[in-house]
Amino acid sequence: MSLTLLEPGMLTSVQDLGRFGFRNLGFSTNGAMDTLAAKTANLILDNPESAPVLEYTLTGPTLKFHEPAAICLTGGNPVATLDNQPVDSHTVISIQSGQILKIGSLRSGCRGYLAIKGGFQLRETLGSCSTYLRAGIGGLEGRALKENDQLKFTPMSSQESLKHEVSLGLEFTHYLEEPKSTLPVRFVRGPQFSWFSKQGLETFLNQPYSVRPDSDRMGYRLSGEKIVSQHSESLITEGATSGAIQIPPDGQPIILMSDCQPTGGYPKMGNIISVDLPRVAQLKPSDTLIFQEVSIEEAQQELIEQRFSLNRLSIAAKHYWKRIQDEYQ
Amino acid sequence: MNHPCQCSPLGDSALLLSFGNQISPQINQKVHAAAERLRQARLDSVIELVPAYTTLTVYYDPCRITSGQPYEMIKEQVLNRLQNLESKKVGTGKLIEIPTCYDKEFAPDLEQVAKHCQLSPEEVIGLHTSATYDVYFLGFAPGFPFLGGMNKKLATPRLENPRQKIPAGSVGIAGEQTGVYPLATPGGWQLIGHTPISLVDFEKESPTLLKPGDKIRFKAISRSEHQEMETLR
Repeated sequence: MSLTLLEPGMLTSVQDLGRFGFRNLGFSTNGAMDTLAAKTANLILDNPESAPVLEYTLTGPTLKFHEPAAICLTGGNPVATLDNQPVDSHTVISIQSGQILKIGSLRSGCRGYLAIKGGFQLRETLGSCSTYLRAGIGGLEGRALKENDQLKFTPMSSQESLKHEVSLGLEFTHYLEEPKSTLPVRFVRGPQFSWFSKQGLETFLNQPYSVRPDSDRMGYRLSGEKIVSQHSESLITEGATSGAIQIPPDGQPIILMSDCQPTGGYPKMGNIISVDLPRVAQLKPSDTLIFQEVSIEEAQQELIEQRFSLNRLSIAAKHYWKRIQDEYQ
Repeated sequence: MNHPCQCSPLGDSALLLSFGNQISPQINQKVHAAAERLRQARLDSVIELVPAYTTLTVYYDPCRITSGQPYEMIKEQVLNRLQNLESKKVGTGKLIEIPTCYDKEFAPDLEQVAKHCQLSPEEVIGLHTSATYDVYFLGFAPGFPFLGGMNKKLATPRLENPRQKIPAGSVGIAGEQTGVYPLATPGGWQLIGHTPISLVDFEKESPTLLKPGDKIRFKAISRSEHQEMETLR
């Protein structure tokens, strides 16, 4: 059971939710940038939410399927067609053997995801299929995908194949709100918050910052009004995590992302809250954002509520797939 | 209660324990002792622990803390486990020897370092191989050790123009630090030697040769020994 990449798209790589347990040995976690989109795609297909998915950037791949499959597209909203017929995101797309799925450019957002029912068959490296580009491990040969790459996937059961004679379009979108790109990006104070002058803080909290073109999976580099520090000493390298808002001496923030190193030496104004980080991952170069401070209590409450809504999505999807199976028994 | 550290949130899914504000073996030993305590405590919500010079980062999943406010709960659990922390025992504390060839072929910057330090290349090698270094922590790249213990006489600034690619196994000096590159990466370190042994093997369950809290020594080897060890790899 496999598919072939006729066109690779831009920086298309295999990612799951990350490689954990090795940060103390200097490893990055890697993993999907928009973890919410990756989880949603998998849950809609009744896969484990941490199953590997394809992540592409701005432009998606063109894929030829050699066997029937059910897939789901999430993340940014692509112009996608199946044998030239438009297909939607956040829904189950049934694909027949020989069909070609062309995922074009994104109408909104920066990263798109493709999950496949049953999951891709890939060997894990240190407990994860996430591609670690800098170390050359994980995913497919530790690299971004290229033309003519083949990816194997787990065959579906016969009932599930049968149902693909009819096209099904079940919308799951109402379970999860569409990302709103104009909302402020919320953060909680970091350990060096007090290092910044009153004026520095005022700048940070009130001025918009735009995404620089050299932003990538390691970090989002922002440009805007300089954030002034009142602290003259440099920071002793300490732990960092994706979502950390570092302020280097030039006063231009860097938001650490999925491929970031586990430690860093720049002072941290704060950390973007987990539920807002996927929205940052969907910002494109020259998009702007505004920061807003929230309490740790609020940040964690939001995350717990998101967990509940993902659990509801998972239950709904399980019911859906069970019904499909029952219909053909 | 007597807590050996300060605790602050690092976002909603990690907390940072700080044991001091200077780079020293004593403070770093406390970090490793705390990591060991917390590893043994096997707290449900803890995902992983990352030591650095003076800090230990505790990554956790707030959704796994079902009663109370997650940050306050995990903070209490962690600080409770760190009472009366002794700093004597440091991780595995293994002493690992890094065979290093300081031959010209592998040491493009040795002359430059010697000149800067007003020493002969032999004296640089002598000082570099006579110290025992603490692996304070690993960071920057898989298996990359941040080492303490280099003789200050060897301190040399980084290259003005970083190299596009430094071969895996390169041994170098940057400022008051020395280190060894596990993977080929760009970098601005002054290269004074090369080790033929590999510091990272992604196929192993324990993928790095060095662990935080280990100690290392560099042992000078000849070109022929280097070649022999490289073919054995």
